[in-house]
Amino acid sequence: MASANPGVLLAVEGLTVRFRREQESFHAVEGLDLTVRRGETVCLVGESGCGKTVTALSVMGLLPRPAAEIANGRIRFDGIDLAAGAADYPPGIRGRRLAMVFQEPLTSLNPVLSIGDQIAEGLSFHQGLCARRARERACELLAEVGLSRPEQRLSDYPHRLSGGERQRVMIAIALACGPELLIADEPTTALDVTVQAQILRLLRALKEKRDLSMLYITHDLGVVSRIAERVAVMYAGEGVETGPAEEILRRPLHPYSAALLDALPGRGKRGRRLAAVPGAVPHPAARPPGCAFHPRCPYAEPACRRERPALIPLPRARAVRCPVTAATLGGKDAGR
Amino acid sequence: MNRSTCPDDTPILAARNLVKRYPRGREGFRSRPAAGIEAVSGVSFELARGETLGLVGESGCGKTTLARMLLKLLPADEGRILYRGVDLVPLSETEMRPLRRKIQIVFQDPYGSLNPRLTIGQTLRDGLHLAGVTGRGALRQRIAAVLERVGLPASAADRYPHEFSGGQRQRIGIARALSVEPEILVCDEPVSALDVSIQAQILNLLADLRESLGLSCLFISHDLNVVGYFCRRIAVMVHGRIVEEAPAEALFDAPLHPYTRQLLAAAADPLREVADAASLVGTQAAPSASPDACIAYSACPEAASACRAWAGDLTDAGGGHYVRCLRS
Repeated sequence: MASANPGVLLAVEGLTVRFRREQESFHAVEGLDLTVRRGETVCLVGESGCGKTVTALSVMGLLPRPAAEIANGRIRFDGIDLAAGAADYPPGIRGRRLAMVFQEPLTSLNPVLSIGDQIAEGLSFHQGLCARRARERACELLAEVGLSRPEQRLSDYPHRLSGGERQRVMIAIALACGPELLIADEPTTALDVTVQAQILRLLRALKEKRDLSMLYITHDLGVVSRIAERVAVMYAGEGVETGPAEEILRRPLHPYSAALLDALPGRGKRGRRLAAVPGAVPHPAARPPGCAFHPRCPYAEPACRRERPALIPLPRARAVRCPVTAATLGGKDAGR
Repeated sequence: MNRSTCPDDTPILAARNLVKRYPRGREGFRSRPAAGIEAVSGVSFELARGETLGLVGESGCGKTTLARMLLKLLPADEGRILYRGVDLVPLSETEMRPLRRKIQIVFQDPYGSLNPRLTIGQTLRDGLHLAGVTGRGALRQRIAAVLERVGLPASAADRYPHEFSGGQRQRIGIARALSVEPEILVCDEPVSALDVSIQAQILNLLADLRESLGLSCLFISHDLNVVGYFCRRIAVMVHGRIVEEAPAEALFDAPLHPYTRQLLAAAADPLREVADAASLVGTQAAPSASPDACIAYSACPEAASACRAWAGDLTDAGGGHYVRCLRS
């Protein structure tokens, strides 16, 4: 309970997001629980189409309407209910206390506005700064995110910047009004590895300096190992495992988390077959009954086909939606 | 598969000082056109039969341009491409045609590289036609066989690209390349558009095919984990040049070029304890303005002032390890 626990900044409880398309409807996110405590970085991990971005958009109140709606569950940010609906999204939260960095900096930035104007926009809207003051502040923000010669860059347009610089600008816009929680949706996916490492280092430094909490969405387990304190793994719209990042990377309990790690290539595995997961991620409209992962799972038992497993809490702040591995492995420290 | 034997140890594919220049547009109205960019600037490598050479580099380093040149999808401005010792660069389109089936490519984007208006069967048929396979029955059989080889049902031939997932489309791209029974497969970032679990399926498939068909591969990727998994020998490319080439072990355990070290530090391996990478300069800066400077100058974390006036070649560091650096 968010109110009962002052450390919790964002609490998502049983979030279900329904998409409608002509006659059919499906749940892109199904019963997701997620918490972000103050000062914590939580990684939401999963493959494409698993509902990571939909979760982020739900928290931001940016779900595409009327196609999508929150069918069930609660989202509370510092005790304030955010899940009520677009019209009722509480004022003074989005862009101010809660900000988001999107995956594609080129399409998320306005090509016909200078980056200075784009940063200043939020400052004048939320904080009522005058044009001159907003521009000064934008300049400070650009310096803070590590852009060289910020005064000259203010009047540059997005196409003049490299991918890494654009993402720094996106971060500056998100940080403009001093948010408490930053949602970053695959911010480094489109970037080269060296630039990715720079952006991750920047985010870590900003988090320390500004005491930010972060919900970081990624499909890349390499990124998880560099930034996450806690991890929530999603599969086909459901949260299947949560726990401290190190524990999950070293000793994944859900067969899907384990499969993701086993499927990673690396030079240590050269000459050996990768443990590929057979089949593909099901479309949320065609989620199998029972455990969504059972058709691809090597440990599936007959019960997995019938009953949707519950999230089972385990010691060391972990939880897993798999009765099979929770029973055999979860209680002990024995490795997989 | 019937393969003509290559008696000597001539590499099946070799590049010698390949150069590709792109003209740069005018800086402003009525100004003089700027000097062109050398996207690929004197690349040489050798690919032995049955070998897989990995080519790593960040975006814009010239990997894809090089791949396209090797297939003569782009004309080379200078240099030679030797297929079993025969230079492909001066060959006309007609002379090239019988050799096209020997070298095939798998493209990066499984969405953009299939014609959305053709069924998979029609897409595969074109290549087979040019390879001299005629007759409805024979075509159908070959198509079914190659689809099965990449793990797709024969019925896939009657469907359109949009009916397939990303991983399946990449299988189709591989089927298209394999349908004409090539000897050399150039893979240009074949798995970077795919999810991890699908990526593993495609890497396994490529490894199986490489094994069973005895393919020689040039495997291009930005991902060191993928290249390290798939390739025994790896070349690192920066700003159009190869700066280091070595057996995979040597490259990972004892990299000689500062840029390679930087790349290795930046590549996150989730299964390893990650130390914070040393100061990363990045390669976003344009190729250094001075033509005499070391090619990696702007990207190099350890560049010294002497590097500014150094444009040396790859030197042999022993054990099949080559490096282009003044300081090593």
